[in-house]
Amino acid sequence: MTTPLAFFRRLPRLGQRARRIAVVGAFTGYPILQLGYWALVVPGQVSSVIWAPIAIVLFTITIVSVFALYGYGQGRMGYPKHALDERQRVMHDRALALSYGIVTTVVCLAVGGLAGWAMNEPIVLEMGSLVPVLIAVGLYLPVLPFAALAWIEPDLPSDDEA
Amino acid sequence: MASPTKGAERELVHNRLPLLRANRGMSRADLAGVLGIHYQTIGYLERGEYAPSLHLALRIARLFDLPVEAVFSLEPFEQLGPESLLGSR
Repeated sequence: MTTPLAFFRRLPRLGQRARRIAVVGAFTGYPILQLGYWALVVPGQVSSVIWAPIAIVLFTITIVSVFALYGYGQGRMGYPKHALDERQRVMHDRALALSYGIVTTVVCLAVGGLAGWAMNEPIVLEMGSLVPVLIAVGLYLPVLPFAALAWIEPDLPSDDEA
Repeated sequence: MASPTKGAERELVHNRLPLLRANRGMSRADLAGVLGIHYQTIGYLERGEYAPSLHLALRIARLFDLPVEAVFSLEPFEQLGPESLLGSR
Protein backbone atom coordinates (compact mmCIF):
# COMPACT_ATOMS: atom_id res chain seq x y z
CA MET A 1 0.00 0.00 0.00
CA THR A 2 1.26 3.46 -0.90
CA THR A 3 1.68 5.73 2.10
CA PRO A 4 1.01 9.46 1.73
CA LEU A 5 4.73 10.10 2.29
CA ALA A 6 5.72 7.63 -0.45
CA PHE A 7 3.14 9.21 -2.75
CA PHE A 8 4.49 12.70 -1.99
CA ARG A 9 8.04 11.55 -2.80
CA ARG A 10 6.90 10.30 -6.20
CA LEU A 11 5.37 13.64 -7.14
CA PRO A 12 8.62 15.12 -8.58
CA ARG A 13 8.29 12.56 -11.39
CA LEU A 14 4.88 13.79 -12.53
CA GLY A 15 4.54 14.17 -16.29
CA GLN A 16 4.05 17.58 -17.84
CA ARG A 17 0.40 16.91 -18.75
CA ALA A 18 -0.50 15.89 -15.20
CA ARG A 19 1.39 18.91 -13.85
CA ARG A 20 -0.45 21.31 -16.13
CA ILE A 21 -3.78 19.76 -15.15
CA ALA A 22 -2.77 20.31 -11.50
CA VAL A 23 -1.93 23.96 -12.23
CA VAL A 24 -5.30 24.51 -13.93
CA GLY A 25 -7.10 22.66 -11.12
CA ALA A 26 -5.35 24.65 -8.40
CA PHE A 27 -5.94 28.05 -9.99
CA THR A 28 -9.53 27.52 -11.15
CA GLY A 29 -11.08 25.44 -8.34
CA TYR A 30 -11.20 28.08 -5.61
CA PRO A 31 -12.08 31.06 -7.87
CA ILE A 32 -14.96 29.08 -9.46
CA LEU A 33 -16.12 28.12 -5.97
CA GLN A 34 -16.22 31.76 -4.89
CA LEU A 35 -17.68 33.10 -8.15
CA GLY A 36 -20.35 30.41 -8.11
CA TYR A 37 -21.25 31.22 -4.54
CA TRP A 38 -21.54 34.98 -5.15
CA ALA A 39 -23.24 34.64 -8.54
CA LEU A 40 -25.62 31.74 -7.84
CA VAL A 41 -26.08 31.09 -4.14
CA VAL A 42 -26.18 34.65 -2.75
CA PRO A 43 -28.85 35.84 -5.26
CA GLY A 44 -30.83 32.68 -4.46
CA GLN A 45 -30.67 31.11 -7.94
CA VAL A 46 -29.18 27.90 -6.51
CA SER A 47 -29.87 26.54 -3.07
CA SER A 48 -26.94 26.16 -0.72
CA VAL A 49 -27.87 22.48 -0.28
CA ILE A 50 -27.18 21.89 -3.97
CA TRP A 51 -24.10 24.11 -3.96
CA ALA A 52 -22.46 22.47 -0.92
CA PRO A 53 -21.32 19.23 -2.64
CA ILE A 54 -20.14 21.22 -5.68
CA ALA A 55 -18.18 23.50 -3.37
CA ILE A 56 -16.62 20.53 -1.58
CA VAL A 57 -15.55 19.02 -4.92
CA LEU A 58 -14.08 22.32 -6.14
CA PHE A 59 -12.24 22.88 -2.86
CA THR A 60 -10.91 19.32 -2.89
CA ILE A 61 -9.65 19.78 -6.46
CA THR A 62 -7.88 22.96 -5.34
CA ILE A 63 -6.25 21.40 -2.29
CA VAL A 64 -5.18 18.20 -4.08
CA SER A 65 -3.76 20.23 -6.98
CA VAL A 66 -1.86 22.58 -4.66
CA PHE A 67 -0.50 19.54 -2.79
CA ALA A 68 0.66 18.05 -6.10
CA LEU A 69 2.39 21.30 -7.11
CA TYR A 70 4.22 21.56 -3.78
CA GLY A 71 5.15 17.91 -4.17
CA TYR A 72 6.52 18.43 -7.66
CA GLY A 73 8.70 21.38 -6.66
CA GLN A 74 9.94 19.87 -3.41
CA GLY A 75 13.69 20.28 -3.11
CA ARG A 76 13.66 22.70 -6.05
CA MET A 77 11.83 25.90 -5.17
CA GLY A 78 12.49 27.49 -1.81
CA TYR A 79 15.59 25.38 -1.47
CA PRO A 80 19.15 26.69 -1.11
CA LYS A 81 20.06 27.58 -4.67
CA HIS A 82 23.61 26.34 -4.32
CA ALA A 83 22.22 22.84 -3.78
CA LEU A 84 20.77 22.83 -7.30
CA ASP A 85 22.69 22.00 -10.45
CA GLU A 86 22.95 24.51 -13.31
CA ARG A 87 19.87 23.29 -15.22
CA GLN A 88 17.80 23.29 -12.05
CA ARG A 89 18.99 26.84 -11.27
CA VAL A 90 17.96 27.97 -14.75
CA MET A 91 14.49 26.45 -14.29
CA HIS A 92 14.29 27.92 -10.75
CA ASP A 93 15.07 31.41 -12.06
CA ARG A 94 12.64 31.07 -14.98
CA ALA A 95 9.89 29.96 -12.60
CA LEU A 96 10.54 32.93 -10.30
CA ALA A 97 10.62 35.35 -13.23
CA LEU A 98 7.34 33.97 -14.60
CA SER A 99 5.77 34.20 -11.12
CA TYR A 100 6.90 37.80 -10.78
CA GLY A 101 5.40 38.64 -14.15
CA ILE A 102 2.08 37.02 -13.22
CA VAL A 103 1.91 38.76 -9.82
CA THR A 104 2.76 42.12 -11.39
CA THR A 105 0.09 41.69 -14.06
CA VAL A 106 -2.59 40.63 -11.56
CA VAL A 107 -1.77 43.48 -9.15
CA CYS A 108 -1.78 46.05 -11.97
CA LEU A 109 -5.12 44.75 -13.31
CA ALA A 110 -6.64 44.68 -9.81
CA VAL A 111 -5.48 48.19 -8.95
CA GLY A 112 -6.58 49.48 -12.36
CA GLY A 113 -9.96 47.79 -12.01
CA LEU A 114 -10.49 49.18 -8.53
CA ALA A 115 -9.45 52.66 -9.66
CA GLY A 116 -11.90 52.51 -12.56
CA TRP A 117 -14.64 51.26 -10.28
CA ALA A 118 -13.93 53.95 -7.68
CA MET A 119 -14.43 56.68 -10.30
CA ASN A 120 -18.10 55.75 -10.62
CA GLU A 121 -19.01 54.99 -7.05
CA PRO A 122 -17.31 54.77 -3.65
CA ILE A 123 -15.88 51.36 -2.89
CA VAL A 124 -16.93 49.84 0.42
CA LEU A 125 -14.70 47.00 1.52
CA GLU A 126 -16.40 44.60 3.89
CA MET A 127 -14.62 41.82 5.70
CA GLY A 128 -17.07 39.33 4.21
CA SER A 129 -15.89 40.08 0.69
CA LEU A 130 -12.25 40.53 1.68
CA VAL A 131 -11.83 37.14 3.36
CA PRO A 132 -12.04 35.11 0.10
CA VAL A 133 -9.46 37.44 -1.45
CA LEU A 134 -7.15 37.04 1.55
CA ILE A 135 -7.56 33.25 1.41
CA ALA A 136 -6.77 33.28 -2.32
CA VAL A 137 -3.66 35.40 -1.75
CA GLY A 138 -2.49 33.13 1.09
CA LEU A 139 -3.20 30.02 -0.97
CA TYR A 140 -1.83 31.07 -4.33
CA LEU A 141 1.05 33.44 -3.68
CA PRO A 142 3.34 30.84 -2.03
CA VAL A 143 2.49 28.12 -4.55
CA LEU A 144 2.89 30.32 -7.61
CA PRO A 145 6.63 29.62 -8.21
CA PHE A 146 5.95 25.89 -7.79
CA ALA A 147 3.10 26.15 -10.31
CA ALA A 148 5.31 28.09 -12.73
CA LEU A 149 8.02 25.42 -12.48
CA ALA A 150 5.46 22.64 -12.96
CA TRP A 151 4.09 24.40 -16.04
CA ILE A 152 7.34 25.22 -17.83
CA GLU A 153 9.47 22.15 -17.16
CA PRO A 154 9.32 19.63 -20.01
CA ASP A 155 8.69 15.94 -19.46
CA LEU A 156 11.46 13.98 -17.86
CA PRO A 157 13.50 11.77 -20.18
CA SER A 158 11.36 8.66 -20.58
CA ASP A 159 14.15 6.18 -20.04
CA ASP A 160 15.40 7.73 -16.81
CA GLU A 161 17.66 5.66 -14.65
CA ALA A 162 17.70 6.25 -10.93
CA MET B 1 24.78 31.31 -19.92
CA ALA B 2 23.19 27.92 -20.25
CA SER B 3 20.04 28.06 -22.29
CA PRO B 4 16.79 27.15 -20.64
CA THR B 5 14.88 24.24 -22.06
CA LYS B 6 12.40 26.49 -23.86
CA GLY B 7 15.16 27.76 -26.10
CA ALA B 8 16.48 24.30 -26.83
CA GLU B 9 15.04 24.28 -30.33
CA ARG B 10 16.72 27.48 -31.44
CA GLU B 11 19.87 26.85 -29.39
CA LEU B 12 20.14 23.15 -30.04
CA VAL B 13 23.48 21.66 -29.05
CA HIS B 14 24.05 18.15 -30.34
CA ASN B 15 26.13 15.78 -28.27
CA ARG B 16 27.54 12.28 -28.16
CA LEU B 17 26.85 11.72 -24.50
CA PRO B 18 24.78 8.52 -24.89
CA LEU B 19 27.48 6.92 -27.04
CA LEU B 20 30.32 8.00 -24.75
CA ARG B 21 28.44 6.93 -21.68
CA ALA B 22 27.63 3.53 -23.17
CA ASN B 23 31.24 3.16 -24.25
CA ARG B 24 32.34 3.66 -20.66
CA GLY B 25 29.56 1.48 -19.27
CA MET B 26 28.24 4.38 -17.22
CA SER B 27 24.62 4.96 -16.27
CA ARG B 28 23.16 8.44 -16.18
CA ALA B 29 23.32 8.30 -12.41
CA ASP B 30 27.02 7.35 -12.55
CA LEU B 31 27.85 10.22 -14.89
CA ALA B 32 25.74 12.66 -12.89
CA GLY B 33 27.44 11.55 -9.69
CA VAL B 34 30.91 12.17 -11.13
CA LEU B 35 29.86 15.59 -12.43
CA GLY B 36 27.95 16.52 -9.30
CA ILE B 37 24.68 17.24 -11.11
CA HIS B 38 21.21 15.71 -11.03
CA TYR B 39 20.81 12.57 -13.12
CA GLN B 40 17.77 14.05 -14.86
CA THR B 41 20.00 16.84 -16.16
CA ILE B 42 22.01 14.19 -18.02
CA GLY B 43 18.74 12.98 -19.57
CA TYR B 44 17.82 16.50 -20.69
CA LEU B 45 21.34 17.00 -22.09
CA GLU B 46 21.17 13.74 -24.05
CA ARG B 47 17.74 14.64 -25.43
CA GLY B 48 19.11 18.00 -26.56
CA GLU B 49 16.58 19.82 -24.39
CA TYR B 50 19.22 21.53 -22.35
CA ALA B 51 22.38 23.18 -23.60
CA PRO B 52 25.10 22.99 -20.96
CA SER B 53 27.13 25.92 -19.74
CA LEU B 54 30.64 26.16 -21.14
CA HIS B 55 31.95 25.12 -17.73
CA LEU B 56 29.86 21.93 -17.66
CA ALA B 57 30.64 21.15 -21.30
CA LEU B 58 34.38 21.44 -20.62
CA ARG B 59 34.09 19.27 -17.53
CA ILE B 60 32.23 16.58 -19.49
CA ALA B 61 34.80 16.68 -22.27
CA ARG B 62 37.64 16.41 -19.77
CA LEU B 63 35.93 13.48 -18.07
CA PHE B 64 35.87 11.58 -21.39
CA ASP B 65 39.37 12.78 -22.25
CA LEU B 66 38.14 14.33 -25.49
CA PRO B 67 38.17 17.84 -26.95
CA VAL B 68 34.89 19.60 -26.28
CA GLU B 69 34.02 19.71 -29.99
CA ALA B 70 34.19 15.89 -30.08
CA VAL B 71 31.44 15.78 -27.46
CA PHE B 72 29.28 18.80 -28.33
CA SER B 73 28.49 20.36 -31.68
CA LEU B 74 26.13 22.88 -33.22
CA GLU B 75 25.72 20.51 -36.17
CA PRO B 76 24.39 16.94 -35.92
CA PHE B 77 27.15 14.37 -35.49
CA GLU B 78 27.73 11.72 -38.10
CA GLN B 79 26.85 8.24 -36.91
CA LEU B 80 30.06 6.92 -35.41
CA GLY B 81 30.87 3.65 -33.71
CA PRO B 82 32.80 3.49 -30.44
CA GLU B 83 35.97 2.55 -32.35
CA SER B 84 35.82 5.74 -34.36
CA LEU B 85 35.48 7.76 -31.20
CA LEU B 86 38.36 6.07 -29.53
CA GLY B 87 40.44 6.70 -32.61
CA SER B 88 39.74 10.41 -32.40
CA ARG B 89 41.55 10.82 -29.08
